[in-house]
Amino acid sequence: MSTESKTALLITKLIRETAKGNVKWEVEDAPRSLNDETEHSVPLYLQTKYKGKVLGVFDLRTKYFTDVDEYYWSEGVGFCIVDDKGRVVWESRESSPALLDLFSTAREQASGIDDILDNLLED
Amino acid sequence: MPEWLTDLNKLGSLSSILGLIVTLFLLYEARKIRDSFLRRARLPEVNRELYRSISQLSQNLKGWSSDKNPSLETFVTIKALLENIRKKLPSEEKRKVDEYLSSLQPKKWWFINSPLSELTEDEAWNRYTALSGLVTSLKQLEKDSKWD
Repeated sequence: MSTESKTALLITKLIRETAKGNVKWEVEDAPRSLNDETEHSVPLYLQTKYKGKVLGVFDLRTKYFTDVDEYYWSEGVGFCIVDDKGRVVWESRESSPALLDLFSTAREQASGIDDILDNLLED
Repeated sequence: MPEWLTDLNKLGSLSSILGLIVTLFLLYEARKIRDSFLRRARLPEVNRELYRSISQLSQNLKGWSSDKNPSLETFVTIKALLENIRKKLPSEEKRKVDEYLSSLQPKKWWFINSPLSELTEDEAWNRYTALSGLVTSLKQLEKDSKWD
């Protein structure tokens, strides 16, 4: 099985485990290599520990140059594996619908939006 | 009959055959151009709807244990979208769509499709993973089509 297929299976597994509450995501500062000295920006980075490995999913804004000084920002989602020292050892920027779903599931959980709305709706 | 007339007759037949070949080639090319235009017009719309449906599917699958019907309904919508776009796709992508559609409802006794309601939760999640890969490749095709 290719790395791409295994990644797709892992992403689906993480969506299921997150929905069941077995995987907890937290908002963290993005690893340096994702933000520094690149044409990217990572405004939101979510991290979890799953089976002893640190996994991250992040909102990724990328500059696309149409001319030397003209560019536009495109938005996507990335997925990465981080080592103990906070270095990104592997990452995928192939924005698939499943990865977008994982990001929104993780963000929903990390923000605690469900509890916030319940609180706000309480009389 | 004079020999020159027989030769002319042969030349006429040969020209007809050549004309038929050229006509068939032009028909084939015209069809390719028509499919390319249809793809450029329809693929972005269908992709947008597929992205919406797949996100809906993931939400519904999370609640499979309490009620599987919303997930099955979303699979039906996705099936209809894929059946709509398949005729406008190049052969490679059409093959992928066909493979996905037959995996969604595998053949039972050679000719009857098994009903969607027979899907188990694990199978439904596997179809979701496969669909995500398929939609990613359709998105890439949409980008490529801009250069046709």
